[in-house]
Amino acid sequence: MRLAIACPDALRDDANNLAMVLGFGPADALTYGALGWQDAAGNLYACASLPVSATFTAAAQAGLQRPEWDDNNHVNMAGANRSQAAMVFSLEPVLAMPDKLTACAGDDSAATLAAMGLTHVEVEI
Amino acid sequence: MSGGFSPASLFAGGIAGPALIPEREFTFTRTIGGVFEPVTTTGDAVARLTSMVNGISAEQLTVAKRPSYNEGTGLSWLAFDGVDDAMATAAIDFTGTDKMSVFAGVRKLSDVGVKLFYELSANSNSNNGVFLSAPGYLGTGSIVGPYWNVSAKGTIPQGATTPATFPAPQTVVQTHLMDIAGDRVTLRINGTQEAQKTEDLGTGNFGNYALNIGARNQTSIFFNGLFYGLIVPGKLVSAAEIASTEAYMAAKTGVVL
Repeated sequence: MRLAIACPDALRDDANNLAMVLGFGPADALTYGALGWQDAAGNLYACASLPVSATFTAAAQAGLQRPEWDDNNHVNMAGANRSQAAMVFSLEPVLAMPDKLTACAGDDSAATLAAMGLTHVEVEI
Repeated sequence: MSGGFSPASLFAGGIAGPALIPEREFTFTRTIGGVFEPVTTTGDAVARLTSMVNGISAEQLTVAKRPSYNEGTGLSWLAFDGVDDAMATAAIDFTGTDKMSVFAGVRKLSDVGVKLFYELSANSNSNNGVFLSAPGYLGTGSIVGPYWNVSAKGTIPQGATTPATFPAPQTVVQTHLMDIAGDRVTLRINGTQEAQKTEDLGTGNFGNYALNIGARNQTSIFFNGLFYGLIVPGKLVSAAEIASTEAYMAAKTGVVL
């Protein structure tokens, strides 16, 4: 299963802490970067897309533990928990929300984000 | 037919640059313990793609940003999702040359939104001695459509864009030839020259920068498409080398030249 995840600006720091807990290491603090997507109201989002295992959604909603690699308290666990509390999982696309971390399943993540009501912020090269 | 041709021959004599071909022997995923292991199946997330030459690797350490490895019908490729997938090499020292060739096997899946396939440096607007490829980009503003586009910059950027006859989805062998002192940027698609710009590229050589693949500096303008290979010798190749390399890349993409 592939997930497309829309993270509003206000949740980016917390969501990157959650990504470190659910991911592999400190590099996952870069999961939610530039605010390259927007909804119809103009709210901005950083988006991520990744394949996940069948057990991922359950693990992502279970109690969080500081990762074994984090012997330096690098992860802000309070932020990770706030982000987890703001998560919305759906097997069908639902509209992204500016106060939620919205994760929707779909094989084509660009199409899934479009179905979540998001469009690219126009950029020039 | 690519015959016995090897991309390594383009780098003989110490020519800088990578030859990145996403086959199993060069393509690695990464375990939670940080160990790189060869990919084993379609769908594996790719953390490292090693070059056939010069000890260069393109990497992605952030799990969600890794492209996926795919294989089928005798081909293998990396899928970039257009959302956050990207890779980058460490800095490659091209400061000894003002000439460059880039051969790419690439499929664009969409002509919606500006996208970067590759770019030398974190941002070619703020650096000199750089180049980029932007599939679907007209070359001005944020206009996209049925194009292929490349550019180069000594101190002045110049782009070359195909006619509007290349709509997505489309797989091609793209050849991007650059000569800063000679003021020339050439774009060949599937063995045919489709665009050339001969205006002032400014001065200087290419720089010592990371080669970004699939995005600008791994953070924006994400590419939605498939990557079959990228060969970047820091020189202008000969006509015979162009023919051999395009044939090689055609075999890697399934394109018939």
